[in-house]
Amino acid sequence: MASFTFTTHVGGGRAIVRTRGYLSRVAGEQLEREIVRLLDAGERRFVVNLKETDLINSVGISILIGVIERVRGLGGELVFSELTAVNEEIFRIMGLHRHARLVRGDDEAGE
Amino acid sequence: MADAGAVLPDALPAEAFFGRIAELRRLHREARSLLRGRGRSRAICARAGAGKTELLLQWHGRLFREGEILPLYVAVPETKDAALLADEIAAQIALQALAFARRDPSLLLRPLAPAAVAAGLRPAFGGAGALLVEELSACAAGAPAGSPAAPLLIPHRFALASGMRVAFMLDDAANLGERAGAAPLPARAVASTAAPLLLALEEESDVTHLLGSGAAALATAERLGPLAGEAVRQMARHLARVAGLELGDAAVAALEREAAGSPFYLTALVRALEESGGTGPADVARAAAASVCDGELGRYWFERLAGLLPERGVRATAVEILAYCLREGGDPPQISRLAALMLKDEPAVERALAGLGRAGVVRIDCARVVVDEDQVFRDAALALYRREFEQATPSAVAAACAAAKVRGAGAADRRRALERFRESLGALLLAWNGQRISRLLFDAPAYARRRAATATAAAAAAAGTEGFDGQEAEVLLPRVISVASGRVGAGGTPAGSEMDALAWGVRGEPAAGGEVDVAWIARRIPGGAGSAGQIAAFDRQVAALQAAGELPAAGVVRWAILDAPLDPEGEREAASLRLPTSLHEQLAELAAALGLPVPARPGPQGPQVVPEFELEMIIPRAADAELVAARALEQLAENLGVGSEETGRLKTALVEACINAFEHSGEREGRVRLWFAVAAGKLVIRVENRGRPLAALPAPAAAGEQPRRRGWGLTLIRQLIDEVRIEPREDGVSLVLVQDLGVRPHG
Repeated sequence: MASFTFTTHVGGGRAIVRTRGYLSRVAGEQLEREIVRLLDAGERRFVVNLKETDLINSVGISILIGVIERVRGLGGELVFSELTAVNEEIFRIMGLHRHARLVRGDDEAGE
Repeated sequence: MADAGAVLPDALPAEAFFGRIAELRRLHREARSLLRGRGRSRAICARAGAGKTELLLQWHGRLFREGEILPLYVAVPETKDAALLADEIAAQIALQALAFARRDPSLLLRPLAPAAVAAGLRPAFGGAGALLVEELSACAAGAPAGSPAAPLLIPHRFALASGMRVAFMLDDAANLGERAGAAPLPARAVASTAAPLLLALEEESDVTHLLGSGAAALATAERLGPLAGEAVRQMARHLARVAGLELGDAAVAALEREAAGSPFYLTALVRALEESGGTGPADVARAAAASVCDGELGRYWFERLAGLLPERGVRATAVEILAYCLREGGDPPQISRLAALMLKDEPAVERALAGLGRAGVVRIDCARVVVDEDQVFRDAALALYRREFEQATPSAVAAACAAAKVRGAGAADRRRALERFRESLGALLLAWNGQRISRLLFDAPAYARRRAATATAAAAAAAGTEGFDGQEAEVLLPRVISVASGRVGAGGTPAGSEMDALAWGVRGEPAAGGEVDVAWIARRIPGGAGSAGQIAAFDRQVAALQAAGELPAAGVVRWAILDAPLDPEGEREAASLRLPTSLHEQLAELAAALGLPVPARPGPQGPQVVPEFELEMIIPRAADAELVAARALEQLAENLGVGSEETGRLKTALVEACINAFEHSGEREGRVRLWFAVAAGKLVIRVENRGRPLAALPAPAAAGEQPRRRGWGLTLIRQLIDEVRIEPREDGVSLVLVQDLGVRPHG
C-alpha cells in the first residue's frame, strides 16, 4: 500500500487537494505535479488539506515552498488547512506561514 | 569532560539531574523564540535550595552543546566591591563566550589570564570580539566607577554586533541591588530581544526592585515550586545507590514529605538516612568516601555532605573523616581525592595534613602547597597517593603488563579502544599528578626478567614481549590541573591544521607570562608501518602549537599513545625525540591493577543508568524507509504513555535524523542504525550512519541568517527535541536525540 495518496476536488472556484499519509520527497513531487496540472488547467486557488497527513519531512516541505512560489507567481493563492498541531509548528518554524495561510478548515480558505 | 550534562563547574552531571522537565521545556520554548528574534527577559523566583541554580546550569549546558545560542551564566556574589564585581562579571562573560566559540568547555575550568582571553576573542568573533575586549578593558579599569550594572549591557551590545542570540542568566540577581546607590538593571538589557535576561531570585518583589517600576512590565516572573515527588524519590534512590546506602521505602516517603515543604533536598536526604536506620556520622563519612570515586557526582554529593555535617551537630572535621576512612580500609586513591576535595584553603590544609601525619596514617612529604580557590587541591592528593603507588607490587604490575596486548585490528575495535583509553588515561592523570617514577612500567627487558624468575612456563610463553616499549629513563609525569580533550588547532581555532590530540595540564597562558606548570600533550598514533612519519608529524604539530602560543615554548611533555607497536624506524625516531610511548590498552590495565577507578565507557544512556527498554533497528537507504522507524517509535511512545503531539515531534525529528543520515552516508547502499532506549525518564534515540565525518558536514546556519529552502533537518530536530548531540566517529557520525518524557497525558 502506498504511503502517500491524495484526492482532488475542483469546484466553487477552488481546487481542494486532500492528502493522506507521509509527505516525503516523493510525495511532495507527486503533489507538485498535481498542482502544476491544475495550474495548467486554469485553476488559481488551492486548498491543500493535510488532515490525514500526520508526518511531513523537511524535503517535502521544501517542495511545497516551490509549489507556493509557482502558484503565487501566477497570481494565485495556496492555503493549507487542518494541519496537525505538530505540522503547524513545523510550518511556522520553517516560515511557511508567511507565504501561505494556515487555516483550520477548508471553509476558512475562502475567507 | 562529559558529553552530556552541564558544562560549568559545580553543576550536576546529566544522570544526576532529576525533575524540572516542564521548566526545561519552557526554557526550550523560550530558546526557540529567541532564535526567531523574539527573546523576552524573565525571572525565576524560588526559595533558597529549591534548585534555581541547578536549573540554570543545566539549561546553560544544553545551549552550549547545541551551539546556536550563546549561554552566559553569572552568579552574583553577596558582598563585593562594586567595581570589582563589574570586572568579575565582564571577565566571566568574556571567558564563557570564548569557550563557546572554541567549543571547548575545558576553558571554563582554567584560570585564564584576561590578556589570553582577550587575545582569543578577536579571532573568534571578529568585530564583535573587539567590542568584548573593549568592554572587558573598561570594566577592568573600573569604569564607569562604582556601577556593577555596567557589564550587564555587554551581552546585548555583543548580540547586536555579532548577530548572535545570547541567553544571559543572572543567578542571585538580587545581590546586584544590595549596594547603596546601585542603579536598577539597565532598561536596554531588560528589553533586549537578542540577549534577554533570565534572573534567578528568591522573591518576586526583587523583580521590581531590580528593574524599576517602568521596566517591570517587560519581564515575566515564574515561581519555581519544589521538585515533584517522583523526582525527589528518583534523586534519593540514585544518591543512595551511588553511596552504597540502604534507603528504605519509609525513608523515601519521609524524604518526599520533607522535600515538598522545604528545599535543600540533600539536607532532607541526610536526615532521612539517619532516621532510616540509625545512620550516623560514621556512615555518612563512609558514604562520602565511597561516593568520591564516582567522579563528578561523588564530588558534588560529598561537598554538600561535608558542608552539612557541622549543621547536624556532628563533630567531624576533615581530618577525622579522612582518618576514619583510612582506618576503615578505604582505598587510598579514593581517599586522596576526598582529601583534595575537602582541603580547599591553606590553613585547613596544613591542619589536616598535620593531623594525618600525627595519626601515622600517611607519610606527608609534599614540599609545596598549591591552593587555587577554584580548583581541587591536588598536592594533598599526591602525597596520599604516593604511598599507594610505591606499594604497587611487582606481581600486580606484571599482571597488568601481561594482560595489556592490542586486541582487534578493525576500525570499530580501535574506536572502542580509544574511548576506553580516554577514560582510563584521564583517571590515571589525575592520580599520577606530578609523580616522578624511575621507569615507565612497560620496560620490556625488566618485565621479561621478572617473568622468567617467577612465572610458570605456560604463562611465560603466553606473555612474550609484544606490545611493550623499552623506555627506561626517569620520567616526570606532569602536574594535572584539569582534564579535557578535544581538537586543538594551531592558532586556537578548530579550522586549519587540526590535531586529534588530548591535552591536559596547561595552567596560565604562556604568552601572557602566567605561571605554567608542566604542559602535557598526548596523541593517539596508529603505530605499525610508517611510525617514524607519525612520530615526526606529532612533533611538528606540537611545534606549531607552541609557535601559536597554545602550549609553552619549553617544558612540554609529549606522550604518544599507540594503537600498535612502533616499527624499528618509529622506535628510533621516538628515542631521538625522547618521546615516551605506551599502548593505550596498557594504561587501562594499569589503572585496574593499581586499584584506580576506571570509568566505564559511557554509552548513550550514561555509565550509571541501565536502560529500561532498548530497541535496535537497521534501515536501508530506500524510499520512505524512515517511515518504518517512525512507526516503531510511534508504538513505543504509545506504550510509554506519551501524548500524540509529543509523539508527532519525536517522529518528525527521527525522520529528519534518518534523512540526514542517508544524505551523509558514504556508502552506496547506505544503512542507518537506530537505537532506542528508555532510561531515567528519558527517551534516547541514536541514529548512526557510516560516511563522512563531522568535519565534512556543512555548518549549521548561524543565528540570524536567512533560512534556506534546504538544510532544515538539524534545525527542526533541535527545535523539537530537548537535547541533541552530534557525536563524530571514525567512520561516520552519530546523532543522539534525548527527550525528557516525564508524565504526559494522552493527547
